[in-house]
Amino acid sequence: MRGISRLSLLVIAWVPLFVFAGSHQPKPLSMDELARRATFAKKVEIALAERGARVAIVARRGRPLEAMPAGIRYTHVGFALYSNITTADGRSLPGYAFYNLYQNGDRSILKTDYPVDFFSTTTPSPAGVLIPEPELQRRLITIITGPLYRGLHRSEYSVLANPYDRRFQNCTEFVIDVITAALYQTDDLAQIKANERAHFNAHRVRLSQFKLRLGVIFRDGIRTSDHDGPVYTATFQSIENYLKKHHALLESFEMAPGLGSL
Amino acid sequence: MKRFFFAVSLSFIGAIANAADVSQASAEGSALISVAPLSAAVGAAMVVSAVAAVPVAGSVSLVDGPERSGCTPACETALPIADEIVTIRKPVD
Repeated sequence: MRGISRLSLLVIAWVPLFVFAGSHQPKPLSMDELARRATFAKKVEIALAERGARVAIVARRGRPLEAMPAGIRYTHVGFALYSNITTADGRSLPGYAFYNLYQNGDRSILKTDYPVDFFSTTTPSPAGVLIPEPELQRRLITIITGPLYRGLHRSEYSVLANPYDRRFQNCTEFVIDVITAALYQTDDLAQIKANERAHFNAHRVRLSQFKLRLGVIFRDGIRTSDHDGPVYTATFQSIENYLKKHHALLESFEMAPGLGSL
Repeated sequence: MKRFFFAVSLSFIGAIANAADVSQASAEGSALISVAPLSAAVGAAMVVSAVAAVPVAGSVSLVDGPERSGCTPACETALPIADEIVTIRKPVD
């Protein structure tokens, strides 16, 4: 019995390693915390607007950088679209709406929220921002506001989803699928995956097989059956490199809470 | 559908926030918070006013943009942004 308890403690200590690509919806915060997150979220929103961005790819990190696996800086990525937001009392406000794939156990949902929602993580999060070239922005708007956006969603979720494989999808793979559809102007998933295999360089996640197996057993949303050998997954950095490779990145920057642009 | 509205007034200087008159709830867990901008008259002091309500369904639409005007972001300067902060979250205290 004591052995089982020790194993449980070991698992509890290690499983947080697997949340690096998790796309959970943030938990409720106190008013103080929400006010602080709101201030930062508004700064990010203004930074996007100052650059005239109609669409941006925005990332957050819900845990300290030192707790992240090497080479991974963010835990969640979504699209920010400049929009008219109609409030409950009928006013129309200009601002950004965020389009997300969020984890829900072994499955995922698509959900639209707003900057303060996006950055309301328990640990104050920096923002990673990629502003695509205008032509790619135009194509992304067409996709995100049309049926293809939902058509590219696959609800079977894995934190470690292999972007070259169709079986599972996480937030970063969904973003790269939408971007690939826009870059290559195709709605054919087979073509999208073929292009990603040819042109997208996923990030190799260096975790021991033992940790991976523990994660598969004890955590929802961790599945590795779509990997044949080393584990590769899409990250914010690999998305940035993909845009650069296609000469489709207008600007990238990071902002830290309280510090402004890094 | 239940609808609840709440009003929140916060006054805070710097990083210190004091909540007052807080009440909120929504059957759909939705809230709208309006945040006033920094007031030049009070320097570092900022007044935050919040009202929560259930957002209208289909509440997001595109502003006329490059796909309609033929313009691209590169030919525009800064886009206007509302001072209000919109959220679908329920603040808790």
